[in-house]
Amino acid sequence: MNILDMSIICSIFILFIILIRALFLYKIRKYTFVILWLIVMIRLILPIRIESPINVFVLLDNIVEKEQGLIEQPTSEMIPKTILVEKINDTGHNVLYTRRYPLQIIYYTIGILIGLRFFVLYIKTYRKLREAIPIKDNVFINALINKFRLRRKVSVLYYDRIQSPITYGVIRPKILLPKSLDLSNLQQLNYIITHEMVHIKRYDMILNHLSHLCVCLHWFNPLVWIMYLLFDKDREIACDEKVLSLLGENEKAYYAKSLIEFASLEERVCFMNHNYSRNNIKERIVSVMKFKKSTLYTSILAGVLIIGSTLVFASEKPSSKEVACGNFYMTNEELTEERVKELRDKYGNDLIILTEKDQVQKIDREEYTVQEYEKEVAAFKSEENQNRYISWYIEKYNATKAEATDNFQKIADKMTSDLEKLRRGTLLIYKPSTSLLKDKQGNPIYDEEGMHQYVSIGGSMDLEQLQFTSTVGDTVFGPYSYIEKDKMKKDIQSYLDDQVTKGIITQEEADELYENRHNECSQ
Amino acid sequence: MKAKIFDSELQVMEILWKEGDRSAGQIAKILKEKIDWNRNTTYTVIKKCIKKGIIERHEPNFICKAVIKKEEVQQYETLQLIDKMFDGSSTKFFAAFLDHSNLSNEEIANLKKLVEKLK
Repeated sequence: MNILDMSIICSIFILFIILIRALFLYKIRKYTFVILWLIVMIRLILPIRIESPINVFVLLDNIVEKEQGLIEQPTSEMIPKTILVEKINDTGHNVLYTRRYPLQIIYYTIGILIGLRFFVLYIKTYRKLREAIPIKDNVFINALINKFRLRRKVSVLYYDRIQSPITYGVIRPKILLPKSLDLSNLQQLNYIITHEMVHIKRYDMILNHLSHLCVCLHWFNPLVWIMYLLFDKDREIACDEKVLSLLGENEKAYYAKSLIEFASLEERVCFMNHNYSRNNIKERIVSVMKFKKSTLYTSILAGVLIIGSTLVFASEKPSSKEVACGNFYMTNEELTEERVKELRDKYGNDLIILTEKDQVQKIDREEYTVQEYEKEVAAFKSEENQNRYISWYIEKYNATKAEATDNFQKIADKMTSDLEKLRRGTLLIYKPSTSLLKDKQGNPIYDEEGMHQYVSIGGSMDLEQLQFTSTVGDTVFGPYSYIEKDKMKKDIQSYLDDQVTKGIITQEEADELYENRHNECSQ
Repeated sequence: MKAKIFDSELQVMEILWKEGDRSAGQIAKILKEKIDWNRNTTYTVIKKCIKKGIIERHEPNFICKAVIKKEEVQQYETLQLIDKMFDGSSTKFFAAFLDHSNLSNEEIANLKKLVEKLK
């Protein structure tokens, strides 16, 4: 699963949470939203799989099927994508060249820049805040902290360059109070320390960093940025809620007033930490004033929301559906013999694996000749095979005959166009591993369902589109098309010969330059 | 003195005022014990003090020396307070003090002296 797919799936989830949030924000426990955001974030960061029969893919598939009467083909559009090119050097060895698309470079560059920006801000803030001076032996504060019974040692400090309280640090959390804070106002001090302690207890600082990571990975997705902002707000709102449940409902008006007081003093030094009162003050005040102890009803609703949305949005469709187009399996993962075998064990021996990744050298790479492949195509398209395929497909996917025929046609078309490219010499089709797919006479194996088995690797590799350049010393040759590859060699040779004749380099140096030339290929 | 001196910097200055000239390492040790600052924090603060021109560092052993006196800082802070809270009027400041505190005669006399000095 690549980053773009992950982003798209999560976007639906994020939209869903925004909707739920708009409907239920003041009705259910606010921590529900923190958990929901957390699930999205885990999903954005880790490519873990949870299978569920009622997930968003299946739902979408059903809609598409109903509308178009066919099953969507898995997309092969991928960032990061690499293309595979074969180049034969003079010694006759095959060398594989890959070149990354510029898109991928842009993706990584911006992601890393955003990450660096966060890191620099973090370090700057940290270096400023560590100059705070501890408040020791304040009996009232110490008692408040001890009430939480944390294993981690929490220290409270004062600092003369902030206007409202801040918390930072995960392992040794620190609560920073502004120097101007009146420590004799015990009611306010109680609110502030309790609020910050709830953040510390809930490890909200780690969640904050996680959301930064999400933004770095998915910077191109505006919904992830919206999530980032809302997640921040919701942590504060959830924290306020917890504070009130600890202090008692009667305190809510006073607590709200205390928040307002600090809101007017707000400033923007606090990047990596939790601030007692932040820009979302209005929503927070409303939330505080509407606070009610949670009831059984609201707890159940919260539970249903969390479990339900995890199943629907954060899961994969069951894997058998993954081979959405008949027995075609498209992938950009690493393909080794073992992996091919594993896939076949999982999906059946009739699996056709299409890959676009430069992993071909890892498996047996014998090429098809035109005649051999013609035989393959003819065998596949034979009426007998077609009938077997269609009935097999109908049974396996519970499909209609039209769908099965359509699916068969798609594969046949693909093979025909591949064959055409093979004839033109612009496509290389590799034979499948012999051990898996051929009988003792070397004929292709057809299993009982009549499926032929082959692996078309680099099936979409269109050599006509490719351009070659070669760098010799400081001189760049090209671009040349695939057909002009021989011309490129000649050009380089005559250039070097010319240099030797002119006496600029010796023949030995020329040979060395030729040997060390650097070839590149792009689309 | 041009820039405001932060509390963190005052912590370092206090040591130099109280204990005389000390090396950066010694200051770091004292502050580690007193307010649990790590060595790097103290060094950073000392560097800022040097930049502000309130500490000078001499060979040998990089001994730090306070360039300004505690009284100068007190004076500066008082002036700042008067500027900020009493529209720069020392009379208002003085009046406010007399209104709300039970100062002894001696203290009042001292304050008067201070105000004279500031004028």
